[in-house]
Amino acid sequence: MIFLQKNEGFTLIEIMVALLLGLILFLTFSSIFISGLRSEGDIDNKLKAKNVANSIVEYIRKNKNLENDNDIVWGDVEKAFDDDEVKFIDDPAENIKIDSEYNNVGNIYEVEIEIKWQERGNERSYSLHALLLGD
Amino acid sequence: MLRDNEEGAALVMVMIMLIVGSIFVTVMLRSVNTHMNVAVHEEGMSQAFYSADSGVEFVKANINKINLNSINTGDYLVAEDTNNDGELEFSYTDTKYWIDSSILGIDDIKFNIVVSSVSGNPSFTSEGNYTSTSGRHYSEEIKFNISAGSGLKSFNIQKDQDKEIDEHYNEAGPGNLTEHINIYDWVAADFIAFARTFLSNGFFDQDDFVDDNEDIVDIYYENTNVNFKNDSFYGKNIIIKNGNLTMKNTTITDSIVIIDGNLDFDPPNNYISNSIILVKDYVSSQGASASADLDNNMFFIYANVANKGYYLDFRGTGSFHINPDNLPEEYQPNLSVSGWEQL
Repeated sequence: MIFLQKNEGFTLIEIMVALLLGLILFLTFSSIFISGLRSEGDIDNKLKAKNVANSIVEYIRKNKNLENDNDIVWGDVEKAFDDDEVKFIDDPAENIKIDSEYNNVGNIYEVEIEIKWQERGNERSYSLHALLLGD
Repeated sequence: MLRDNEEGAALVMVMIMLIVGSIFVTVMLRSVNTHMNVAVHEEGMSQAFYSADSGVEFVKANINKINLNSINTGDYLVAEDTNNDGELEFSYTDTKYWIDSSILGIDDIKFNIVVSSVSGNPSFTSEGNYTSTSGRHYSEEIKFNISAGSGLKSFNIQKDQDKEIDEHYNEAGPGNLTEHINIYDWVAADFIAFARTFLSNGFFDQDDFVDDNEDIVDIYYENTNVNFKNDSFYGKNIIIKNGNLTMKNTTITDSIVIIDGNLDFDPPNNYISNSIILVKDYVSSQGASASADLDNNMFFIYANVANKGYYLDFRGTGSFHINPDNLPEEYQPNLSVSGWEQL
């Protein structure tokens, strides 16, 4: 009988408070988790952008398709890339910008690769500058 | 006792949940933080690498304007538009010199080129530098060599009777020409005349030599084999017609030597520097392949090659002190970057 008296349960208020506290804890931890996962995704995108930019520079270095004061059209470059590699960019033709300009001072081309992509409605970009000897 | 202990179970459970949750969150945040640092580091190193590589490309682009004489290990390449004419002039300094937007006109590329070794082909190190928005500095280094006049370069000249001699020299391109210069049907009567014609067409600047006047021959031999032994020649025009030259313990400097025959080095202590040597047939070292201290010379070897007939080969040694501005393009020092190595 003593056991029964001691197992009479929690009051409604106690349960509500416990649930509320649990919910707060859950939301706090889960929001930190989600934020962490998003950051991982952002970092992944940045590394992908870096790798794509590096690959484009090496492609241009190999093929030497540099033109003065002309954008190198994406069509020239995309052949070198599998679609999967730039999947994180919505429209590569729109979001990968390649400029080459003849630098008279050094008799050399200055190449700028700019990669743009969307992250939760915000535009992110990564740019890489390199000097490349033309043909 | 049992009953009393069960009363605190909720607290313990909450504490455990908090601790476990905190551990998860901490691990996650540390992981994210680490990955973020990796990403920032990767970006910084990538930018620094392409800055360093831009330095190598910059040297390639200006390779014929960079002076390789009198360089010392630890010297930094200086690029300046001292004349304000849009053309860079190159020199060296012993203090670190960055080539950046002030020279290149573009941001985000910054490098210095330092001489890392001068023995053999000089080697350089391009150090690229990148500073992130958070102020962290990243550095990457690429080592490379500059080799001068390496290998044998064919120089074939197509003969065209309708053209003047200098037109031939100026227009000739290397390789794959059906006809080569042949001294016997060329306007020159023989090899010596050919040599004189060759040297008198303004390819060489008189200032390149101390006593350079191709019309004045300082030393002349004919129909005899010549031995230079324990001799030293400085700023001389030497012609040996119809004879071979053997050198032993001899130094030739700042001279033009024309040998209507073979050149043989008899070791030891044979030095030829800063000279132009025009040889008919072949260069040897006591019958073996040539072995001597040859520095900063231009060798023109006019040899009869099977199935080709006589043709003219050009070989440069070391770096070139002589002024090549008056030479046809085919004679320009063939400098190239090699031995690319990321450090």
